[in-house]
Amino acid sequence: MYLLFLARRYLLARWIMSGAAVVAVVLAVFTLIVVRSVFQGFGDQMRAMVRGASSDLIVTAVKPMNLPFAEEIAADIAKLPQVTGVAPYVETMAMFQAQTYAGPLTDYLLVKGVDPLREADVGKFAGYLLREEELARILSNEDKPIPRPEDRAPLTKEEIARLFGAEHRDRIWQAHKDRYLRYAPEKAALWEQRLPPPVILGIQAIIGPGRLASFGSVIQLTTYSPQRGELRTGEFLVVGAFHSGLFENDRRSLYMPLGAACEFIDLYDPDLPDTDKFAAGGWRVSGIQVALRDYRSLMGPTSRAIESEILPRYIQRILDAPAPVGLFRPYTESWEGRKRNLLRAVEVEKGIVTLIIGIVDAFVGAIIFLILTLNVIEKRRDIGILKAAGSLSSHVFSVFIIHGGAICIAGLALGFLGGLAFCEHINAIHDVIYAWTRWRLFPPDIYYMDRIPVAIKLRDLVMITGFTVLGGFLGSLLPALWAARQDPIGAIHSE
Amino acid sequence: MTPILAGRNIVKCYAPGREAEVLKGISLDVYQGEILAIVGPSGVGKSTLLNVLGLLDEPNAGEVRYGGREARFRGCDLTALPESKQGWIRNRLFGFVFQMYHLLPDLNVVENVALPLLMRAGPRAWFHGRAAIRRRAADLLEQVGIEARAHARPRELSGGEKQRAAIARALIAQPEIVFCDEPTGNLDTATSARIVALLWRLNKNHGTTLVIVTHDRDLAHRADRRLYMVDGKFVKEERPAAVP
Ligand SMILES: Nc1ncnc2c1ncn2[C@@H]1O[C@H](COP(=O)(O)OP(=O)(O)OP(=O)(O)O)[C@@H](O)[C@H]1O
Ligand SMILES: [Mg+2]
Repeated sequence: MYLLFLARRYLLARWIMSGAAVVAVVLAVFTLIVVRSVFQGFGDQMRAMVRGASSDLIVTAVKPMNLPFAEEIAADIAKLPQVTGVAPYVETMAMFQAQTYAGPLTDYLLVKGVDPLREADVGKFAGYLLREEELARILSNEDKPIPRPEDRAPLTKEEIARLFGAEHRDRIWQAHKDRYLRYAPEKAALWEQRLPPPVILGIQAIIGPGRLASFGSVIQLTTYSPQRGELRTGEFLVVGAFHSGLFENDRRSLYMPLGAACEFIDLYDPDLPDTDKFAAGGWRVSGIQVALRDYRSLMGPTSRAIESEILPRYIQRILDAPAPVGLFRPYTESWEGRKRNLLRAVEVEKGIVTLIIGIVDAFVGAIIFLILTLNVIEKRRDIGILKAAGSLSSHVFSVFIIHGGAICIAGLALGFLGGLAFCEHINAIHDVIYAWTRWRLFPPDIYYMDRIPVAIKLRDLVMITGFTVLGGFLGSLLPALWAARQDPIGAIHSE
Repeated sequence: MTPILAGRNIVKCYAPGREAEVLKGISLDVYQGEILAIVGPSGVGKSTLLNVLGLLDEPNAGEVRYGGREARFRGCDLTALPESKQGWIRNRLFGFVFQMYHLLPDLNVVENVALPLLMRAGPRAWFHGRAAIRRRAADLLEQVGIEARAHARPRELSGGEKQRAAIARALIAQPEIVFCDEPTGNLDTATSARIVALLWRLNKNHGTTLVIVTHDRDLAHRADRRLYMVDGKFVKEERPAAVP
């Protein structure tokens, strides 16, 4: 008990020194909590952006085979109880060409063929699509930031069906055809009979100085058929736009109906057995997207169930077919597996933050070491007196460990309060700083986030506490041991 | 009569090999209730001897046999005991008074005096017995005549007052032996006389054994026994009064 009493006296006797140490620990803990939480929030947001509209799991096959029996496989997978949605899709790179007043404009794009209604069940597709009036608002003021997908209501199934429907396409065509036909008057007769299929472009391909095409215009896409290796070209009408928040995605990809995509790429396979049974009618697809009730716990089991129970049946059917179609090796892949390269970049940042925590806490340890060492030097005579009066080395050790521990815990507690409060109000604080200095710490156009993302995780707080306590303990350990080892008479006579 | 403390062939050398021995196989007996003065020229090793006897320093050879009231240590060589036992002995059986007083600057006078008792108190005694300990400390302060300064810090005290507080601290645990290393070395004659009177009164009232290292002739002459030390050895013993 007297140990606590003495430690308290020592702390208060040199309260400026101890206070400075506490302030240093507070600043360290504060910084760590804020940096860690912002990085975590940033990482989470990046992860969500990287994931984009990806479903939990896909079933796909080695190229150039792609996936036959897609509808049958999809139906089998849908029967698994943990599966909440399945959607076949087609994905390919395409060259893009559009007519402009300055001549043809070319670029490349990622084409995604989807069944819009089923696609809405497996990813954020419905949340990315823009309603006609939302798009009109964006087009009327291109400088205004676009509301985040999370802040918009996702389209309902009816709205999605209408967006991809013939009626909507016709209306868009009627409204915009004059402008388009100026560049290509020879197409007028052709398209009065049969309008091109609809496409939904990313918003960044429609607005801004780098725009590729305008809303309501006809674009031309060129790609290779993976089956035959032939060049394929098709024309499409831009009937809408989507906004995912990830610039690259919003600039370089487009959605079209699955059937239109199959036809464009020519994925029809006459050699397949039982072609007439397929809902899509003999089309192969790039893969099937699968949504799960819970990604973390169900990814593994579902993946194994599909690979070991469902897919082997189809492999057998191919081998049994009169004309085997050769290499057919379907497999499953999680979204994290598909995007591992991008995700790794986010993971590396986390490693850096952990390193920073280590360094800052080493600093905490050094500060406490310094303060305690000074304190031991100053108190050497006291240590001798205490020992002469019967104190044991272990008591002296405890007095200094308690002193160091008190600095550490006080700093930790205040740092926690400050750090958590700061994280809670970080955006308000940022706004105040911006209002005063016109200086943005976090430019929304660069990070594509209009708010500073913060995610406080219990695990991080535990880690920061652990590292800080460890740093404080190690920093206290040497001076306390040194104090304990003083022999009484040598210490008493020290000056 | 068995001595309460018996030093046998004590050798002490601060830097073995390089320097000559400070204590060269010194032996002495300390008897219950006596006032023993150790005198001699400066630098002969008087303080060193006192520190070895008081378990503040370790001898290179020799032993310190105990023959006092604590039965379990009787006949033991105290210098061979583990640190925890030595700490216990310093806390309960020994008291120290130094020339430089050595009070803790961050505690006030009562707290300094109460320190040896506070040190022993577990959490329970801390909360329930602290008042009693403080009362005892206040009593002692009254006995040494500085009760008015009880709540002052050591730096606010005069040398004499500090030494009286140090004596009170040495006595609070009711030790068997109090080791005094030049207790009046820093004090003027009048104050010294008062400190000496105080020590003698304590010896008479409590039967506390005193081992005093001093240059003060007056003090030495009033002791029951004097040991003259030269160059790490005793050369003469004087008993002015009756043998104890
Ligand atoms: N810690 C130490 N390290 C090395 N030598 C020491 C140490 N303490 C004392 N000495 C030496 O040991 C010798 C005896 O010292 P000690 O203090 O015991 O003398 P003393 O008889 O008490 O002298 P004084 O009367 O001046 O107090 C001296 O020569 C001193 O220089
Ligand atoms: Mg001396």
